[in-house]
This record gives sequence, structure tokens and C-alpha cells, in this order.
Amino acid sequence: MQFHMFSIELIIFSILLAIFYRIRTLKPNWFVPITGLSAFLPPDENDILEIKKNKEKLVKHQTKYQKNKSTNVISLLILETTTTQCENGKVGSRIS
Amino acid sequence: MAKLDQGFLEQLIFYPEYELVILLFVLIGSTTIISRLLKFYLMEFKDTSLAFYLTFVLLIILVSNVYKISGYGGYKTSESKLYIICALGGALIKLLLLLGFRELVTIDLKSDMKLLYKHMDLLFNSSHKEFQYELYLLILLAIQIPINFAFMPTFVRFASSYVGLKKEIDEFDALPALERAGKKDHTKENRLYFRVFQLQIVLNLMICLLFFKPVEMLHIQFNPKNIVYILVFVYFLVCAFTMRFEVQIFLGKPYQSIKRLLDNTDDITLQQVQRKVNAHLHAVVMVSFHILSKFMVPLVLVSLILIKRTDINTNNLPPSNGITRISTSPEYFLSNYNCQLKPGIIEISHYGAALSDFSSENILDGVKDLVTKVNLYGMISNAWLKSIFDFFLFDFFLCNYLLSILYILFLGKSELA
Repeated sequence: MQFHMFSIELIIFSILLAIFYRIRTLKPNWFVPITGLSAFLPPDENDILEIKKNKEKLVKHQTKYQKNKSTNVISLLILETTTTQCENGKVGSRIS
Repeated sequence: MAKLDQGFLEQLIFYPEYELVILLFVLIGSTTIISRLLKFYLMEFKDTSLAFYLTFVLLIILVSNVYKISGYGGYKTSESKLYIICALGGALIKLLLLLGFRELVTIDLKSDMKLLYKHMDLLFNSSHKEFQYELYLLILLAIQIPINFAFMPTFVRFASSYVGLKKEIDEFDALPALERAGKKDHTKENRLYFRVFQLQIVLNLMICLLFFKPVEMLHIQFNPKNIVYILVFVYFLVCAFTMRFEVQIFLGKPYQSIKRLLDNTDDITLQQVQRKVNAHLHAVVMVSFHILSKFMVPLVLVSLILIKRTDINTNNLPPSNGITRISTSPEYFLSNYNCQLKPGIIEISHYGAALSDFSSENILDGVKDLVTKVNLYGMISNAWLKSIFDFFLFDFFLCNYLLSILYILFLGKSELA
């Protein structure tokens, strides 16, 4: 009859536990795979002010170029800039 | 736009469990690898199968947390009702396969249960009657339904991200050539991940098919189960590659709702958008837990099987017999199982007499016998454990494949129309 009071596996486990605990205290993001991903933050009232300013510009350009009967190229460009702001994160840049 | 930090993630629910699972996985994996290497190359030591119990604990923590998350919204919502119906459907398909086409599936529950009974007889010097196979199946299926329910959202999430990617790529391809030439090809990365998603589905199908055995008709000696374990490891690597991308797809979803602010800048729409974006931010850990469980659970099941296989090489046989299970059919193995059945050795009167007189050492004889036998042959027969884990592995991949394919076909058609 043989009883095994301690095993080598247990010793390795405890050593590695100490090592990983040390790593976690030094670099807490080391084991979590979702850190560093980019996320949209909820938009603030200041973001809406920016959007309103852009819209006013757009309306001005539209009135200018309707007289000349040219195409609304610039208005389209401004719309694109607002969407790119969304993509680049200028809208919703503040943490609520 | 901001990047997820440690400080932000720590506020979210289920974050500590998430970190614990990953840490335990890394720890147990490294300990098992190091100990196996030591055992094979440097020294010989008796295994206490610490790794087996630890991985089993990890599996229980994983599955219980995933079950909690998938039932987080309540069981009366339409989504969870659908998941329950899907889980029941998967269980019924499994029942049909195991009752009707038992010869086709490589999982042999009946003979493995018989082996467990024989093993118990060997340990306790007793004899058992025949067991009810149908009752055993029903118990397994009752365990299977909540587990299926827990993993349903992961499969749906994978399918929805697949359909979204396909839609984005198709939209870019449908543009006229002149417009496409001016734009920057932002779908270049998406195309790579789309290929990897397709590879995942193919791997899933291959694993499902390898649990059946039409190969025996060709009279080729070929054990497909060993390939399954390798393929599960490949599946793990592929899914780990796409994990961050899948979470990123989920995080990009509020872009559509923020876009609404360009048209309407009312307070009501602002509140709605804020609420929606907040909800997306708070569900990040839950979603990533689901995606993590999708590839970690099969790997843990496979590692449990492999640990037990290397623990006791002889598959709980007494070493004098020397017959391995792979080389012979289960019927032959059952007939040659080297256990001497002595019915009625352990009698109540025997122990009753011993209990009355504590000074006698008769009470320890049975225990000594049992401990030596457990040290030699193990507590539970490995074949039974293997069949149980194989059962849940097959179930996982079958449900994964069926639901994701159904969802892709259904959602793709409904959104195109």
C-alpha cells in the first residue's frame, strides 16, 4: 500500500502560481485578451454642439451654391467629414 | 472612441471570473506540460492526477459562468425561449442518433457503461445486475439540455458576425469600378478574417463527420478519434486568432446608432443613443466570455481525455492481461476482463461483527484491499470517462455546426430580401 503525500505536480503548480501572481501585479493587462480594443463612448452634449456647427456650415454652403446652380459637392464633402469624425472618434470623445 | 483599459474593465460584471478562467487555463496548461516533459524525459514519478481534477474544476467554472451569462436577461425573454427550443432540438437529434444509428457513431456508451460496472465489481468484490441503457441515456440528455442552452448565444453570435462581414464585403464589391478606385480598400483585413471564419466552419464540419464511422465499410483499420483531438487543437488556434476581431465587431455596432445623431439632435435621441452605447460597453466582458468558451471548452474536454489516457496506460486493466482496448472489439474485451467475481463476499453481517469489536483488524482488510486496487487501476474506468467527454464534445460541435449554418442561411436570405 502506497500513499503519496506530495507530488511533483503540486510543487510545479505552486511555483508557477507565485510566478504568475508576480506577473499580474507588475502587468495587470498581460493575461486579458480584450484590452486595447477600441470602443465608442456615449456621446455628450458638446458633441452635439459640434455636429450643429457643422450642419450650419453645410446649410450656408448649400445656399451659396444653389444660386450658382452648381452641384452640392462641398456639402457632400462636409457630410463626409462629419462621418469621418464619427469614425475617428471625435464624436463621443468625452467619458460620461 | 477610447481604448479599453484595466481600470474600465474592472468596473464591469463578470470581469473577475473572466480573468480567473484565463489565469487558471494558462496555469494548468503550463503545469501539465512541464510535468509531462519531466515524466517522460527526466524522472519517473507516480501521477496523482492533480491535473485532471484541476481541469475538471476549470470546466465546471467555465460552464457555470457561461450558463449564468446566457440566462442573465431572464428566461422569459423571446431570445432565451428560442435558445431553450434550440437546445431541446439538439438533444432530440442526439437521442435519435444514439438510439437509431448507434452502430454509426463511434461513441459506444453501452459497452463503456458495462465496463464501469465491471470495474466497480473488481474494486468492491461484488456483482451487479444489468443496467437500463435507456434510463442512462435520459439522464445524460437531461444534463445536456442546460449545457446546450448555455452555449447557444455563442453560435448565434459567430453566425451574425459572419453574415455582417459578408454583407460589408459584398457592398464594397457591388460598387462601380470608378468609385472603388478612389476609395481605400478598408475590407482587406476583413477578407482575411472572413476566410478564417469559413475555415472554422469547415473544421467544425470535419470534426462532426469524424464522429461517424462509414470508414469501416472500406475495411481500413483507422481510428478517426485521434484525428478529432488534433483537429480540436487546430480549431482552438483558429478561434483564438479571430477572438479579438469578433469582440471588435461587437464593439463597432453602436456606430450605426451614433450616426442617427447627424439627422436628429433632440434630447430624446441623444438619450436613446447614450443608453444603447452604454449597454454595448457594459456587455463587453459577457460577449468575450462567450467567445472564449467557444474554443476553450472543447480543448478542456480533449485535455481531460488525454490526461486520463496517459495516466494509466493499460486502460484500467490488470497489467498481467495486457490487452489494449484499441486493438480489440469491445465484446472481446468484455469477455476477457480479468476480474474474479465473488458474489456476496462483502456481507452486512461481516461488517456488523467487526463494528461491534473495534480492536479487531478485520475492518481494515477491506479498506486496504480497496486502496491498493484504486492505486493500481484507478477509481473510475477510463473508458467510461472517455465516452462521457466524447459525448459532450460531439454534442458541442453538432449543435455549433447545425445552429450556425441554419442561422447563416436564414439571416442571409432574410436580409437580402
